[in-house]
Amino acid sequence: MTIAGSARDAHWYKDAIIYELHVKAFFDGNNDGIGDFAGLLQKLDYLQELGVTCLWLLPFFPSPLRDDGYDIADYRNVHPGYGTLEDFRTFLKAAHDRGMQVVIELVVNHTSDQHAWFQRARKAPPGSPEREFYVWSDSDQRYRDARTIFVDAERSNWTWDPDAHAYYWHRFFSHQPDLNYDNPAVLAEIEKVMDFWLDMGVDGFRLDAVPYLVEREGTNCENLPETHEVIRRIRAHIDGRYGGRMLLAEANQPPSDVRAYFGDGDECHMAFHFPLMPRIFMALHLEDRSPITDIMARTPDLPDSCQWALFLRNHDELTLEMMTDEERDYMYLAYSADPQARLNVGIRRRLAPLMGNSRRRIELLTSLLFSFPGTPIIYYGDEIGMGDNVYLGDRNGVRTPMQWTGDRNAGFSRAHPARLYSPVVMDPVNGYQAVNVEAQEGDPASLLHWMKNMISLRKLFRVLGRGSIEFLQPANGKVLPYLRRDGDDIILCVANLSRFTQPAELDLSALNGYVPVEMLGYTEFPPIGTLPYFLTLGPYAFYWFELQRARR
Amino acid sequence: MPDADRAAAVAPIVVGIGTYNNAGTIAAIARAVRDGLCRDFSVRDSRIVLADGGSTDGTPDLVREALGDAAGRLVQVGYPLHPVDLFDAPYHGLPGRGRALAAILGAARELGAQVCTVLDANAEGLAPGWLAALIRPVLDDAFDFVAPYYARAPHEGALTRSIVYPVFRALYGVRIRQPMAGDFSCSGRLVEHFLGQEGWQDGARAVGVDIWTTTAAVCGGFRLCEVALGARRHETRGDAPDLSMTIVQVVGALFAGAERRAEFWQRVRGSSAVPVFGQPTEAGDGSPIEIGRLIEAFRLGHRELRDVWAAVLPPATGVALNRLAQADRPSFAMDDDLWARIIYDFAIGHRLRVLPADHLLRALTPLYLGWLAAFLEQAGTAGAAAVEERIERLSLAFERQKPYLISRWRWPERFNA
Amino acid sequence: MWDQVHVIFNRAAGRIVENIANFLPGVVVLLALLVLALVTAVIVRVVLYRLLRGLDFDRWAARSGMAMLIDWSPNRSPALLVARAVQWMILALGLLAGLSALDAAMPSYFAMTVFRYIPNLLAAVIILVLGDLLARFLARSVLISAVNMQIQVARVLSVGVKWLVLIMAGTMALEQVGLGRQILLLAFGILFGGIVLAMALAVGLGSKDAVSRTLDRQLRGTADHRTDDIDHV
Repeated sequence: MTIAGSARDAHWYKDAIIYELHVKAFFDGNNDGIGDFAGLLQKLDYLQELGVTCLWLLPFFPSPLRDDGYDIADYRNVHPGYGTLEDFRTFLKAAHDRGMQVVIELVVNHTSDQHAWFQRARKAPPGSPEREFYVWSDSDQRYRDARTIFVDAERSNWTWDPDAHAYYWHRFFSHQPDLNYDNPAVLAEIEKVMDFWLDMGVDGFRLDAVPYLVEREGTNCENLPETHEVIRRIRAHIDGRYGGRMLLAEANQPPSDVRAYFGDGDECHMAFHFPLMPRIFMALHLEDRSPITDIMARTPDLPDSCQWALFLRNHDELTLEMMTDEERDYMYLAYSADPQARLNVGIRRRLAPLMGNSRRRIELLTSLLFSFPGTPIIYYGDEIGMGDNVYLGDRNGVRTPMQWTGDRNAGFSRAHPARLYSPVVMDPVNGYQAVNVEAQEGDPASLLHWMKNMISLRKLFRVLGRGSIEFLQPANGKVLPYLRRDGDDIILCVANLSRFTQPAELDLSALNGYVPVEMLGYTEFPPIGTLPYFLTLGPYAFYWFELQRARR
Repeated sequence: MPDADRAAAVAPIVVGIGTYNNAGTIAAIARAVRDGLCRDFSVRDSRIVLADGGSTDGTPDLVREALGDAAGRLVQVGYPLHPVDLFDAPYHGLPGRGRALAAILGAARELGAQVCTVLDANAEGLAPGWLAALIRPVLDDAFDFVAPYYARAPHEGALTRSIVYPVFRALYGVRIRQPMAGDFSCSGRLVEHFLGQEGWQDGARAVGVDIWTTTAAVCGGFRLCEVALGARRHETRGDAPDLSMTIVQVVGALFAGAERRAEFWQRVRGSSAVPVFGQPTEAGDGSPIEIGRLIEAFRLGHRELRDVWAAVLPPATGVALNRLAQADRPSFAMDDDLWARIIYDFAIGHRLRVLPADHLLRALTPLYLGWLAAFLEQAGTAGAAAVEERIERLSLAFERQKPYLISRWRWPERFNA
Repeated sequence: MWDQVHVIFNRAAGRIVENIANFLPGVVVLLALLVLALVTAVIVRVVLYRLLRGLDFDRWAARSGMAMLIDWSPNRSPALLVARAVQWMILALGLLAGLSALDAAMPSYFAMTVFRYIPNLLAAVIILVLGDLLARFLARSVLISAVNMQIQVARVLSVGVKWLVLIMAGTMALEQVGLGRQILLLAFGILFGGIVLAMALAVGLGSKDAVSRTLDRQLRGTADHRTDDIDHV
């Protein structure tokens, strides 16, 4: 039986507020030290209270967990540590009952080397359909123009398989062989997998590592036209069978290349705006708006049905791949004085430590996240300013257990602390004893309450999700003002990127006669005239104004 | 259905009445409807839709009898009545009114009605002219929603005057005196809109469906007007709920609507009047009410419910209420802005679920009685014009305090918590 | 003499064999019953657990303030607690049935009393928790209603109701446990009666004026508008 998607509006993702979480890290319902669906189910009320409208779950499939679940060994089941398929169904229904959509992760580029397809392929004779599920070669010299992504872990994209007597192709870890999309049977199988989850009522997929689906000699094997053809066929397949579902592409590419993943509205509904995120951090540290305005100027327009996905931090390192060498050096110097915090081409830290635990900076960045054109994504724990642990390997430092209370194991589990899949963060500033949900719920001035208010405010203004953006260019470069428009709704946002109070003279003469009303406190400001509009902004202050026509 | 029958089944004018054991009043209403239709319209063009919840006192038969030769125009539909509806006596006297309305609107759509007029089965002394007054603006002037404008004695309809009207006006920017009247007309276009609304099911389930429909009409950008219908007389039923239950139902519906429509009303500024057809008349003073008892009720509430109030009202309001509780008769007056803020704080308390909704709204009763006392003290015997002027001032206070509501709505002050 | 020894030995051996023969079927029955109980218990536990999970029992329990229950339960899941409790109860019943098949009166009687006690204890705890919740909710509800009915002694009523519910719950809980039934009934009667009397006195004294005023008015025949008689809407 097919269960319909939960959203009434086909474009629900444009007004959504997405909460990214790892089942493993959220809440442990059976006290075995690993979070699970039963635990997540118990915490749905918390998420509803918070106001988020969509949950994005990181991979929860059976997997040898050598890449935190991104190495999938079976697409149609749930990792036994996280529960059963039945648990997932119960959770999905409960989330839908609360008006929340659920987006799951689907890694379509590669599988685990433990996957039955790969085990079958390495034993099958060369040229057989089973073998052709993956990309094989007799030499490791093909596709030499493709870069190696995990430079810290892998030396080549080819690895020798003694069973198959051939090299297999992998863009990521050597235990993650790439699927061969030149074989139509692969796409057919992947479509069946999608149907399996969509029939259950899942509202969308995040497509991991989507630029690398197809390989061609003499290219860098990224963003190929053949890859786009695969995505178009996936989209057509889904549109033909289901309504109100969403595809979110992970394409860590420059804006012009990412634009291609929207197609003419016939590929993905959403894609992450990767280049914007590090530049927001850079602008904040530089106390200068130009990195942001530059990248937004280079951001192409999207088809009507499409939307950018915006985020500040996620489960990966703060990736700097889409920056120039100089920008990257600046970011390293600014945000990771400790080399321990660096990984691959990025910085593996959470939002609060990156912000030096400054409430004002966190609030400023969150206000940018909520007021830029796109759908905001909140990484679990960032709503309370949770800490990280850079001494855990790989990116595990930002995937520690959610900090619920000040009790043992941060209230995440009652297992013996040694049994936890990862130690909880224990530093005195961001550790669970200082930063946890229970304490912040009781404190009316906490970041958590601030986030709740901001989320419910953002939900009142569709223009923030759907409107156009236009930057103003006042002389003071430390001030970032922009207008959001959607029909008659106009919103003026002004942010101070500096540590100190700043003046700003805004040229708003085109909006002569409008009255700015500050949105948080509904305070009326003097009406706009023909002269420059003067504002004073406190340190890291941000103002949102709804522009109302003057009273008759 | 053959084409000929379908043509015969089309009726531009539909008059709908929802009934459940209304034998006392229904015959007079049916006669008034028949006379009104005969006098001002062609009976052939009209249908009378009776949505009956399964009366046991022969209400449908009484209607058929009273309609006489026009009985052929009667379309009877049923609406499901759940045991819960009977348990929860509604203020308007029609259990399951939401579903009755849904049945009437559904029938109107089936009949291809240009105008659908809904009448309250409890009304008494319905003049035949009423019907034309309610129907004409839709047919002749292309209005989509016609609300009644009753003349009421100063001490009557105070809940509408002191809370429903000013809040509705301040929130949605439209000055409609009776946003939750049981009698109204709507155009065929609006019938479609109602039935197609997201959340119509929730609306139709609620006791306060009338405010739901008015709100939907305003938020949908439809053309609204009022007609002066003179005095309103309603049979008081034995099973009518007491004042505090009425407040729970009426104010609860108003607050619930505000939660659903927050996106709309937070963008509305000021308010504008709608066209009024007919000449508003003056209602008599009616029988006087003993103000001293109202004040006593307020003082008792103040003494015992202060703690409950403190969960939603800010300290400044608490101090003002302390002062009021000590005031004596001639100087017993409640400031308009204070009253507006009290209602707004209750609305926010309702939204944040500070207390169970039922407790919260029932705790409003003594405050309302206090307001009523102050109001009657000032305007009780001063005539209709003075009452009008008084309510206008109160409404302006509600509009003035709207930023107070919005700011707390968006950024709740959690100091009390 | 040897013959006699032989006879006695034979008789004794016969008796032992006979006893064993009498005893063995009981053991077999006991074992069979135990196995049956074990199977039933496991099946019931699994089914019940699934059912409760499907009904979202854990969240319901968390929400209805039974935090205590959650703290006690294994894996923070009251559903699991309930399922396991039922499982052990069935096992215990199986054991009892098996013991009675063995005709071992002593242990079965003892076991019966012990096991009969457990559900009562559970019920008592649940009654107490619910009673406390109900008392707090009702107290506020009664206070507001009484004020709206313009009863001057609203606070007394509210406190009275609260304690009434609490005492009722306490008595019911103790009744469940079966402690000092007679004394309790007596004490409850005295307390209850006392409260009613006190309230009646309080209401009577407090509203003496109000009553006399009403009577006065009725005697004089003046119409008095009660607030509920006006059309507020």
